[in-house]
Amino acid sequence: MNHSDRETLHVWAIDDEPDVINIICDFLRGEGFAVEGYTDSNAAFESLMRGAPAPDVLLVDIMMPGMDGYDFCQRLQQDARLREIPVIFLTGKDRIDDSLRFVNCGGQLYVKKPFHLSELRDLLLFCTSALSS
Amino acid sequence: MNFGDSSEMLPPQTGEGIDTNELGLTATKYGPTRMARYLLRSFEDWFDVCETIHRQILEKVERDDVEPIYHEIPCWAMAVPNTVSSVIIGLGIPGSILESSHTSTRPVRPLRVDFSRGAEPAIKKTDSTVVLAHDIKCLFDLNAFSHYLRDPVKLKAQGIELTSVKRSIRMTVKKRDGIRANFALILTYNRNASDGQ
Repeated sequence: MNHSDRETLHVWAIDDEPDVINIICDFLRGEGFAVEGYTDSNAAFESLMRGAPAPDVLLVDIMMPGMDGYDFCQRLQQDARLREIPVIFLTGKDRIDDSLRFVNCGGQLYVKKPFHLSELRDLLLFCTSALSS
Repeated sequence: MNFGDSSEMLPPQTGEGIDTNELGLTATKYGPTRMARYLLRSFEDWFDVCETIHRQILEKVERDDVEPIYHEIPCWAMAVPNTVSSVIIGLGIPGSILESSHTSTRPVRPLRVDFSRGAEPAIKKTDSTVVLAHDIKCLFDLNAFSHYLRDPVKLKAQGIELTSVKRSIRMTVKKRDGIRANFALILTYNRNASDGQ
């Protein structure tokens, strides 16, 4: 799927680190994605609850203060409109040692940081193209 | 960018689309299957996945069902395009095994599953490289390969030294026929490399 061939994919990135959000958003927009970034998971949740158009895919940091990535996605699972949004979970842990909770929270993929931005782009395309095929 | 037939990597997320005739009887006791997918960049990531799932199985599964479950959890993988050594691995895990740990009252009891009974990898050496390949269809196969790579006696018998080269090990996958195996997990390293170079 080439940049010129695909429809614009809408991505929401949610991470409490502003620098991470800025870098991800800038890069993905340059790659032709429509991106919204949130450093506050509550704000992102409220926005969706108020009827904001659902993104095609969510990038969600797991470890965030207040409502962490799992809680955020668990709440989305309660909404018929939102529960089908594919989620890529991002973790800053050194090891993959979480439980399998991410699966029941709608997680399509579990990714450790750091990641190359080009790799992130490819993973977003993977999650959306494979699911639609 | 072509992910090939990536649809095979993503059967429906819930159990509805998975042919339950393909699931073992033991696995069906533990609910509809969901797919757990991980991005792995090193074989240490893959070891971590095996350990994470093993802990969850020990907590959620009756003791006599543990080893059968390992043979009944299907495993798929695909290489991530445009990367040197990134693989997405997917495991079809029965739903009740996925439940969060803090909801369980089952104590975790150590239980050894004998992965040494699994097949050993195929090993090919050239003057410059070593390639280890292992066919994988289920979680047991994945753990059998992991177990082999952590057995110093077997590695030494093959003249394989992984410790000094682990950072240079490339990991990729090759599709298999889906009958005897879903994919082959392939590790390659340069015999002359070391992490100190």
